[in-house]
Amino acid sequence: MRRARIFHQGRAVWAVLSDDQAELLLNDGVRVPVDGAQWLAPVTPGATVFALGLNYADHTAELGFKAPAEPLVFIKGQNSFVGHNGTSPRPQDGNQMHPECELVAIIGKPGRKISRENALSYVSGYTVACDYAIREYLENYYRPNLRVKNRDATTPLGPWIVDAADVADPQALALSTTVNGKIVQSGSTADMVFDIAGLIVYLSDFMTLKPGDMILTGTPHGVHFVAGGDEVVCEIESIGRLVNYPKLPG
Amino acid sequence: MIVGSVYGVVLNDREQNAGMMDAFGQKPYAAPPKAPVLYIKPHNTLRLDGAAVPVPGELPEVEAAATIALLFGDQLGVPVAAALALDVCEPHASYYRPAIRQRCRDGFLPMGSFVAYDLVALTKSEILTLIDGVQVHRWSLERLVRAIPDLIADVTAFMTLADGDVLLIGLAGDAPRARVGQRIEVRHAALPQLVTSFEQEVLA
Repeated sequence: MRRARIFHQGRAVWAVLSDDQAELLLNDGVRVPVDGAQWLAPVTPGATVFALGLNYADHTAELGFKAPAEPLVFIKGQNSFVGHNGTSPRPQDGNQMHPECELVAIIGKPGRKISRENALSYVSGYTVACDYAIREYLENYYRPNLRVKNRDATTPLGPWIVDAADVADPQALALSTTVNGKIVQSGSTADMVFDIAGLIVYLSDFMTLKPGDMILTGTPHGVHFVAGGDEVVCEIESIGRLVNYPKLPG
Repeated sequence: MIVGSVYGVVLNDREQNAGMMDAFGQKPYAAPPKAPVLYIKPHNTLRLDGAAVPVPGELPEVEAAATIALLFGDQLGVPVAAALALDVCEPHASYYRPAIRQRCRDGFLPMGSFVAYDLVALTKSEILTLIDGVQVHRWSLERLVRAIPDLIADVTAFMTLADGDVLLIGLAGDAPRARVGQRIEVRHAALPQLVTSFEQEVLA
């Protein structure tokens, strides 16, 4: 099953994608055509959304770092999300804004001190993120700092959440980013430094994970700077294809 | 009501930063901070009911940094209420990487009641911390590198503080440390007192 959050007739609602992927089915039986749907990021308000830095060895080498000994985790604020087909503001001086395609694991039940063998049973589903960074604003304090990673609407998420039961092996999915049709990132979730189970073990060791919490699991190599008006597509095999448009002010 | 994100800022204490000027110029920092250095306290850290803070057995002591929390309303970037807060964390010397494990444990952000406030009154009085009835720390907003209006302006220059978001206005570099079994009170003349205690964490 694929679940999406959309804006429909004055309210935010969760909907289920039809098998032919042409319609979104609401609780009350209403069917909304996918074409023209107002997609929202499928994020539960109040959820904790974690993101990972340097979690693919090839991207880590590309940035000139050594693989970290423990996961490099940062947290997203609710201002940062935007749905499928949305726009992401690119500041006029943000010439080094680059997309990062990431597999997102969604937590389905509360857990603390979760064991590795049970870890994936805590995942209810998966979605796609494009975790933009703007490198001009990097500073070496709590890096990656919020001015780089927590700007309004610079973390597209979606289009939908695919049930975990429908994903045979989340650590063997092809992921890619294209900009105006040209491939700029291409990798596999097999190459994560800390895999999803490992990240759940790490985080739940010191804090309680709640239903709706999300883990953006990092990005493979490929740093390509976007321009206003580009079409950026992050796609993950078996999960979905997330489209976003960077937009200059004015 | 806190329905949004809770943001805090470090290195917003003039006295702390004065002592770090040499370090700011060296690796891994290379230069003093330009933008406010923000962090996020996720919702599992919130304790709004006066319940005890659970301290895990592996932490012999924690930093207990008294501060003021500002709650934002429907007028963009304008705080509508203030409360005392105690930002608890595992002591850590480096500000290079986000301190998630250190700052984001369950219950590590007890807060008092939010009330309407007056900026002048907030600035005029000190924030006092008492441990087991003994005053151990005092500081005032006059130590802030960015006073509240400047802090809000510099944060909202690159991100929105929306209704239901909270901003913690800074931490004292010399904040006290506390242990399991201790009772903490935070006082400020213009805000309701915050009382909490530190208990050994017991996992279900």
